[in-house]
Amino acid sequence: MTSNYTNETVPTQFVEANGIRYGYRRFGKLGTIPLLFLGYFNSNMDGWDPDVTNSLAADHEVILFDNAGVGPSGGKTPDTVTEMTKHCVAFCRALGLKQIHVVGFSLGGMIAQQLALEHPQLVGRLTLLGTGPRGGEGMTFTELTAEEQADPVAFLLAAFFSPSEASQAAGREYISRLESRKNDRDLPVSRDSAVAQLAAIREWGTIPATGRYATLKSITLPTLIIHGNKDIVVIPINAFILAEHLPNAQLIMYPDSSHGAFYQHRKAFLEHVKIFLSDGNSVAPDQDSIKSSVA
Amino acid sequence: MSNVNLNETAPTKFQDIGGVSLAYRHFGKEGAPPVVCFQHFTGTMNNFDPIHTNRLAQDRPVILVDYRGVGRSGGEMPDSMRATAADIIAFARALGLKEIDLFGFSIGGMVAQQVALDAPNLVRRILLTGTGPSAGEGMQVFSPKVLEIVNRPNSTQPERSLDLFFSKSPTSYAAGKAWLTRIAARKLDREPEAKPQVGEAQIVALAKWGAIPATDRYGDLKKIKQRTLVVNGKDDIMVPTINSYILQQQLPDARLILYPDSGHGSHFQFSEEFAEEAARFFAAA
Repeated sequence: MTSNYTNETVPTQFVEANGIRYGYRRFGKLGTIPLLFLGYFNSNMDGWDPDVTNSLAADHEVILFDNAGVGPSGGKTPDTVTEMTKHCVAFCRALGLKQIHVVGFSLGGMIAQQLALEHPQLVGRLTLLGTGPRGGEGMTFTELTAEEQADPVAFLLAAFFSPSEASQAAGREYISRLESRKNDRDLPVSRDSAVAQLAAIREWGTIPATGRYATLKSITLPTLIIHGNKDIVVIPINAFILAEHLPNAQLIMYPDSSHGAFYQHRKAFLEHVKIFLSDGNSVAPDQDSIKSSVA
Repeated sequence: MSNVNLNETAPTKFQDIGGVSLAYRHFGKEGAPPVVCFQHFTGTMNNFDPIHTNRLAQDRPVILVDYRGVGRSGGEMPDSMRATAADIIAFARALGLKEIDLFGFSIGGMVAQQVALDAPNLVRRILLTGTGPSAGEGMQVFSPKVLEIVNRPNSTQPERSLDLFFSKSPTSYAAGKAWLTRIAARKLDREPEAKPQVGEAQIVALAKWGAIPATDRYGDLKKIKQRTLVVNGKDDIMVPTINSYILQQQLPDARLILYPDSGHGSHFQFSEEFAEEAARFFAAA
């Protein structure tokens, strides 16, 4: 059974935890493990491509979520990924969710990794879009500013799509799809919130003195990594590093594409993510079952 | 069609390419560009995974071919990818083929790249598994780990293949054994195993292919405009996995898939998922 709502029509709801009201939207196939979508820097719930969320909603419940201080959500946007992750957990507990699959894009993919690391029992499968590991390559985003979206269309076309005609055309279609939700649009991300998010991704991107990728081996959940081969925001070597260090990850890299590769190649992306979520054979069993089969 | 095991029943044929005949098998649904498939170091047509070939054959003709000097193909194995590619181009032309897709594993992927460079109008799409570009990382010689496996006394070819193509996990090893069973299923009309000259010549060819030029290291890749799919396991000890990433970054129109917990033979380990991926890749508009 599927809720009658779509990405375009689902009302924004609120749930409270520890005195903070979180804004969210929930639709899709009831009785499934929900997909929790965590968005990119300076984005709100309206930033998700309705084609992607509606398509995945045919098989899964979909939950879009504004972290603390973003859009209509209360509280203050934290300036670390770790603190943002705590809000995610509080939000999930307030909704009574026992298990979720996480789809994290860029900053959302960083939170997704932290969530999987700290709360592996809460997360089933991870889908990491255009993101990188803690302390990855070129991830301190020195050129990014909180005013980045003064001209959002120009920003998205330049950062999410490659300069090729095909990619730019896909970008314009994506941007027009973002307009298809007419009512109950989300509130814009405030400057204070963007400043805090920027601090958080810079802290995440700082290269530690020792054990650079050491935490990745503890994220044993089945993971799908999707990246554009010319991502100018999170450079593509980061996706390769994730695939090499995560114990159970499949990497798919699309051609002629940047940060929004999964929107540009969304037909292939939707096929790939559906195979992954329906348990095709692209993931190895978890480490515990490997150990037990050895014994 | 889908229930017929063409990989097992297709007869071996021979095509003269001018002074020498190449052994090949041709099966599958006519009406689409055929996919011509090339083997790994010392491999013969026996080693193609029936899950791949039978799946592809549902949609298009599949042509398996042994290089000059391999199996029942005549002559001696050439000691360069270029000479090997020239044989394949002559073979395709002798069969009257105007447009082909290429599927190459390991050395086969290098031959496929060279065919695309030397006969660009002949090639439509390219599927590369467990391979790397000319001048890639660590490709001139086998690593000590690989040499230890290759030179292990009293080991059989299947035992060596397991250690070379699969990861150490029980899942990967079990998948390797299943692959060995699949490629042994064809009982009649099998190719003889490669003679020693084949491995010797291929080692020379690999050294030439892997040599790093002073300038324009990956310049040839920019010339391969065909749509390409690059696949590998995350821990390939034969052709280090970073080479798959380099291929994808340098080729003008390539997509990359790296499978978890797997090595050189990831496409055998994730055989059905890979076969579907390959079928979609060749079929896509």
